[in-house]
This record gives sequence, C-alpha cells and structure tokens, in this order.
Amino acid sequence: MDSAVLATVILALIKIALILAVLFTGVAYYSLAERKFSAFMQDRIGPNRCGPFALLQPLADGVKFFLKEDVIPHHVDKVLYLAAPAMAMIPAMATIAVVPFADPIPAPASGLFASLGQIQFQLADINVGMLYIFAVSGLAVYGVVIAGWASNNKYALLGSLRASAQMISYELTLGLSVLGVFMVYETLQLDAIVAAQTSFISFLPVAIPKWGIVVQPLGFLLFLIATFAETSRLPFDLPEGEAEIVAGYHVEYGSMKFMLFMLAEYSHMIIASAVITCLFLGGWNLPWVDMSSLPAVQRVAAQLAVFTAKAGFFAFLFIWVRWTLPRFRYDQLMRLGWKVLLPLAIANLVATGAFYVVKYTVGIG
Amino acid sequence: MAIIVKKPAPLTFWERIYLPAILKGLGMTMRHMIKTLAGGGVTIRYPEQHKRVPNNYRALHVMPTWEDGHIKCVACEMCSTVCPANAITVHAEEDENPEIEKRAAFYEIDELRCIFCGFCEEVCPRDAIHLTKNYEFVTDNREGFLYGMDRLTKTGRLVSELEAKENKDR
Ligand code: SF4
Ligand code: SF4
Repeated sequence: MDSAVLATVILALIKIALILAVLFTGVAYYSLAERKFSAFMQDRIGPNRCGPFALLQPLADGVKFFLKEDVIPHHVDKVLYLAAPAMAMIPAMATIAVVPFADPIPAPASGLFASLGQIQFQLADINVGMLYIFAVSGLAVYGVVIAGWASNNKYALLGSLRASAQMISYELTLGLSVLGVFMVYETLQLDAIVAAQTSFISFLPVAIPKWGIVVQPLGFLLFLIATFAETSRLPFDLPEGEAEIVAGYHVEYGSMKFMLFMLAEYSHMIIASAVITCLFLGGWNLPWVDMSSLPAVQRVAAQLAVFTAKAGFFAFLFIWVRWTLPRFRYDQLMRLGWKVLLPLAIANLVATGAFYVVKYTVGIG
Repeated sequence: MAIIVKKPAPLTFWERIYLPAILKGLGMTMRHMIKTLAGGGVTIRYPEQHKRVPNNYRALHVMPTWEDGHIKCVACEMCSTVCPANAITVHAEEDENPEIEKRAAFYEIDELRCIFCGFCEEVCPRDAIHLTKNYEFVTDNREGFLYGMDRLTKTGRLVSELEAKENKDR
C-alpha cells in the first residue's frame, strides 16, 4: 500500500476514534445537562449525588444500563427487533462525518502524514456535504419504524407511525429551508459554507457578517423548527407519549437496546447543533476577529472553543425549549408542518431566488 | 333565559405566529433557572441540611434521669396502659430507696409499633418519658427499633446533636 493511502486511512481511523469519543462523552454529559437544567428551570436541584456537581452521574447511568437484564419479549420479530436500535444509532453517528470543526492545519513536514499536505478537522470533506447529511439522517426514521413494527405491540406501532409521519413531513421543510443557504453561498460543502460566512455583506454601509442567520433569517427559523421535529424534541415529541401510547416506539425495549435509542436521540441533537452552527452561525469563526494569524495549534484550539460554544448554545436551546413549551396535538403538528412551514419555506426559496435574479440583472453588490 | 356563550376574541397576528409567546415562555424558564442558580432554590439538601422542625414535634422517646443518674420512671405502667399501639412494655421491681419504692426493671418501647401520639408523655405522673424531635433513628433490622432503658436514657444527646445540625444549616 502506498504511503499516502496508508496515511489517509490511519488519519481517518484516528479521527473516527476521536470524534466518536467526543460525541459519546458529549451525549453522556448532554443527558446530565438536560437533567440539571430542567431541574433549575423547575426550581429544583437535579442529580447531585454522584461526584462533584453529579459529574459521575452519566457513568452511573451507563453502568446501570449495562447491568440491566437484556429482555427479548417472546412475541417480537427477533432479527428486526435487535437490528432496530442499531438502525437508529448508525445514521446518528454517520452524519457527523461531514461536519467540520475548525480550519485545516498544515501537516507535519516529515513523518507519515507529510504526504497529505494538510490535516482537516472533518472526517470526510465531500462536496455534497449537506446532501449527505439529509440522505443519512433520513434513514434514521427506519430505526424508529422498524422498532415499532418488530415490537409487535400496538402502542409501539402507533408510536412509530406517528414518528415516521412527523419526520417525513418535516424533512421537506428541513430540506427546503436550507436551499436558500445554498443559493447564498453557492456550495453544498460545509467547510466552504463556513468559509463563505467570514465575509461581510457587501452592499451595506456597516460591516455585518454574512452569516446564514443574517442573510436567511426565515430559513434559519424554519430550519430550527424542523430540526426540533426531526430530532423529535418537544414541542414535537409526538413519537413518545406516556399518556396515549405508553412510551411510543421503544416501549418493548430495555437495557442497552433502549440506551441506544436514547444515545441516537441525543447524538442527533448534538449533530443538529453542530450543523446549524456551520450553516447559520459562521461555524468556528467570530466576526471582526481574525484568527488566521495565530500559530496552528492555538488557532485550532480557539476555533474549536468558538465552535463548541456556538453549538453548545443550540444544544442548550433544545433543553431550554423542551422545558418551556407544551407539546402540539397531532393534527396541529401536521397543520403546522404542511400548511405553515412548508409554504413559508417555498416562499423563502422563491424570495431568495428573486433577490438573486434582481442582483445579477441590476448588479448591486 | 338565554345562555350567552362568550366566544374568545380571535387571535391577533402576533398570537397566531406563536413566536412572541414562545419567547415569553423562554424568558420565564430562564428567569426561574437564574433564580435557582443564584439563590439555591427552595430545596433542603437533606442529609447535608436539616429542616428545622417545630419544638412540639413528636419523634424518638427519651427517659430523663435525676441528677444522680437514677431513672425517673416509677414503673406505674400508666404509659403502657394508655398506649394505643401497645408499644410499651414495663416490668416493675422494688427499689432499695424506700422513698421511691418501685422502679422499672425492664422498660422497652417498640418504635416500629409506636404511632408517636404522645399519650405516654401526657399521662406519665413523674415526667419520666418524653418525645424528642429526633426523627433520624433508622436501622436496617427490627431489633434496632426496640429501645430499652439503656438506650432511652441516652437519646437526649441525639437531640442536642440534631439541634446543632439545624443551627448550622440556617
Ligand atoms: S407515643 Fe403513643 S404510641 Fe408511641 S409509645 Fe407513646 S403512647 Fe405509645
Ligand atoms: S414512664 Fe411514666 S407512665 Fe410509664 S411507667 Fe414510668 S412513670 Fe409510669
């Protein structure tokens, strides 16, 4: 094997290990953050027994899940029943492959990685970027549907039907709302989108960063709302419903298999936060701050910190909204998705298109 | 008489797009969160902090003694008679001191039977049994809840510990 290929493979493996480690740690502490913040919002204290600030709580939860008896009910379709948690988990993990976290740094001049030229903080820099995310995250619905079907339980099936209808309806809005961003930045590649957001809006007198949230405010709002629905978070957590369908599609699951569903949900939220940061908040860049002159290591550290802060805000927003809003009724959910969000997304698309037609014919900016 | 049904006023545009109401709600949860983070909230963190119980709180018993350590109880069995839960067992014996004549040879309260009504305290002619406010006397076996004279004369100490804890927390 020639050394460039070997270097690429080894680097990719290192990145996979690192990203998954960070993702799972993030998920673990995200669940703790959810419990803590929800407690604070309800004037409670939340978990505070395991270690300082309950920092060992996720560990305790994980151990508990591992030690639980692994029950397989006799009435389920065994193969699909066992495959469903993995089918929910894999798309959640795979989407993070195209999310960039910082500018690339030059590779060390000698050694194995020298032939690569630069090291990217992204697992796969593919030029269909966002499309890949849509394609893979669209598969997540299979995990839910198959879980409900294989459970051979009417509540699980109803839950999974609701989940699939909801995800399919909101995926349309999700896709359409982000098309405006592609029009503005003229690329699907996430790192290119982030790079494009370092510039300023050209025809305005004050320097306003060309962030997605500035140039596509409606698109941002629609994308955010659709993301809440896609990750089935409140106010769109219809797939689960203690009152009407027991627990939803995962009612027959316990121990590690249940934990995989939870992991998938939380990884989805973390990745969604990262993607929103890339698309609408300028990724790892700060406006009016030029980090490119810093030495490589410091620059990467700063950029990772900025990225984490921005994505962390959105991750917090998921929690914040969950503990603020009541859920929608099912018909309200569908009406909102099809009669409000979808037309708005199309209108946003048309308006953006019209703006660019005017811009290129009249020639402003 | 006709019943007039008042229809709610139709929603305004701002109400129909939800967003202002959502922001208001977010503001409210954020206020609560900041309040809890800043002021610690309303929770009493129990094993570390103690709720101050009222002084007439009724929990574990104590048998006071005279200054010389002699137990006050004269084994009149009033308490065991009045006890609605049959929690008290008293056996009497003769005391060497002719002025006392009778004392308890065996005195035991089953705290698991006790309903903490306080009747024993009320009925005792010699002020020889009290209910303290010490509610922290759990053990993991039933025998541990059988309080004999030896332990009942010492539970007063636990009360002062409890009060010290209460004062420390506040
Ligand atoms: S408090 Fe009431 S129940 Fe308990 S020992 Fe005294 S009389 Fe009996
Ligand atoms: S504790 Fe009081 S009521 Fe009970 S036997 Fe002794 S003296 Fe009598």
